[in-house]
Amino acid sequence: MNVMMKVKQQAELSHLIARDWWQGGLLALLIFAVFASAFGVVYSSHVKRHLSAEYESLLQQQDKLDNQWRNAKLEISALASHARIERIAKAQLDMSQVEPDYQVVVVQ
Amino acid sequence: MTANTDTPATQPVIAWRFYFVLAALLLLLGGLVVRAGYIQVYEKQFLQFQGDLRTVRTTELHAQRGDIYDRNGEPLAVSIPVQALWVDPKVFLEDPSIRNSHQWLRLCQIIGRKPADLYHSIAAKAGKRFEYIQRQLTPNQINRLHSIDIPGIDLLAESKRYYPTAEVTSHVLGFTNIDDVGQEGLEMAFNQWLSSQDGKRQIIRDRFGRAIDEPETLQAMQPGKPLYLTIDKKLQYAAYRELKQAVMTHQATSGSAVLLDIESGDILAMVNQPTFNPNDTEQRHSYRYRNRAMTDLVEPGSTVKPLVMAAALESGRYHMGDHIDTSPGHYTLGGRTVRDPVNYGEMDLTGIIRKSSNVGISRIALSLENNEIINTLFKLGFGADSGTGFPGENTGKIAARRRWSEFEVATLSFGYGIMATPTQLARAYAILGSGGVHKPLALIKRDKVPSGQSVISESTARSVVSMMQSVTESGGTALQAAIPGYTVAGKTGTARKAVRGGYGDDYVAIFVGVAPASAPRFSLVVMVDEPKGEKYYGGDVAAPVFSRVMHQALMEYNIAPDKAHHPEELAHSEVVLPESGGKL
Repeated sequence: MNVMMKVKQQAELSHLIARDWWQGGLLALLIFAVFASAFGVVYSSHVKRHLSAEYESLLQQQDKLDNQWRNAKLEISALASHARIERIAKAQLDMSQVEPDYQVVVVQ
Repeated sequence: MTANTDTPATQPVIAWRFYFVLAALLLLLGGLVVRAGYIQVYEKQFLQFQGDLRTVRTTELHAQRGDIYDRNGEPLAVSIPVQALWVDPKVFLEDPSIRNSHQWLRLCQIIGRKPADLYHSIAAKAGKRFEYIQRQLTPNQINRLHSIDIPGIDLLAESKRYYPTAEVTSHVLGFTNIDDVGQEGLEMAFNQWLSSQDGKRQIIRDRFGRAIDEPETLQAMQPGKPLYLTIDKKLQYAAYRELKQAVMTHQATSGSAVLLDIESGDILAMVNQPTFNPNDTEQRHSYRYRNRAMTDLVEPGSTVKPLVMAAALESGRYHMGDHIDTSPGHYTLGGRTVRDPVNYGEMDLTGIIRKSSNVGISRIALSLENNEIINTLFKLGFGADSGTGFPGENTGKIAARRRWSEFEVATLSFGYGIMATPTQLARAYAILGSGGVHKPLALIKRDKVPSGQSVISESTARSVVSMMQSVTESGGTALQAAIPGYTVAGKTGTARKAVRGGYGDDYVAIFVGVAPASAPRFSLVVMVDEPKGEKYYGGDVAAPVFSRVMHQALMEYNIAPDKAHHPEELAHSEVVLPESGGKL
């Protein structure tokens, strides 16, 4: 008897709560919205942190590439220097300036 | 609270228990509120500070100085990020045992310093918070230093300036000091434009050291702006090579060459000897790094004769076909003699320029008003700066006298008593070459070619150019300035150098001219100071340099040849160039 009453009471209680929720639908919705936005804040700040970290590493990469580019510019410039080309052309490739006798000029 | 449990009536609520629990709960709640308020309000600053101390970092962003390029975008000055090793002596000296540590010894080994010396030099700066240990470390050193962790010692980003063309462009560019501030040349003139500003960012790091937030940028990073010059690296190198060769061959003390584009007023090449390698700080002596083409004055000697001739034509009293009698080749003015090497007899105006007759040109000068010559020289840019803003540029000297003795006028007409920079000479000839239009010179690339200002009549300019053409043809003083396939109009100058109390035995050899003479495109001056060999005439020393550099410029810019061995060949599409003349 006692047990039966308890069960009935519990059923009534959950029923009551459910009905209460149903009646206070707006309130429930608001509570849900509050939780949703709270999780949203947590999530977006998580995403932001990831993006910040990525941005930072990209900045570092940019810096590194800029550094490489600057060194490459210098290297190209050193390899393409006229003095070096002239030296290689004369010494290794046995080239020389074309004498005027061997020049043909085309005038259009 | 309703008591509808098992025995509703038999167990009454004991009131004091209820209130006791209630009070206890309220007290706890109150305690929490007070604590929260205390933290939020009273301790807020302290806690936030402590929190930031653990997470917020200010990072510096090192910005590079602007690069310098030639007119075709070839790099002439490039900044490379490097690192400097620095120490906070206060922190470093807190732990004296560090000097025996393995790390310290290794650090000293990497940078090549004696541990005891370095330690003492840091100890001497005990009160300071910042001292450089070594600047501009090599990449290799930086790599090895990364593994070292000594309190108070750290790396700092900085820059090193490299000049890939080294001594070829050093006078024009100048150089920067170790703190990236321009000290000479364009590096100094355009320091503000090239300078960069380091940025400062505030970032929040998590415990893995990743940046997770950037609350604010304290100072935006501003890289230096790039500078594009009018210099053509190829022609600059050609001028450098030929001038160096000439200065060495003739054991001269110095030399300069300036190549101008007559169409635009751009300075395509500007070289000097002696020169220096700007990458080597040891070579920075003023006699080496002075840009003589702009800072040093020379007496132009005979190269001023075509300019006096221009004044004569402008006066309206002389015309192309006029003849002047120069016999007997010398005459006396106020006790002093003006002479030619030989008696040229009666000559036309072209002959005076071709033979560079002192008697002829001074006769003409004496028949003109004094201010007619001076005014023409001013119109042709003497006494005025180039407009490039180059630091230390000299504007030259023209004595503005009220009374001139006849001898002074005569010597003025062959280039004594006035002083000009090589650049001014090149500009004066460029004005003649452009048909009397003065275009402001530039070292910095311009978007638009300035229209210029007509300073002397076109017919005068054309006449003088055609007179000067005879100088490089048979019977002229500078056959070596001739260029196969092209006509050249120019003038030699060999001036005795003024020394205290008169003129000494040293000479300045000059050749200045324009090409092609039929439609001048380039103006080039070559000046060789104090050639020591047997040859010291402008026609022997400077003219060959002129020929080779000008030839290269004409070929680089694809200028059509205007002269052929057989004139009729030009009418056809193919021209075989004559075998005579210079080699390149």
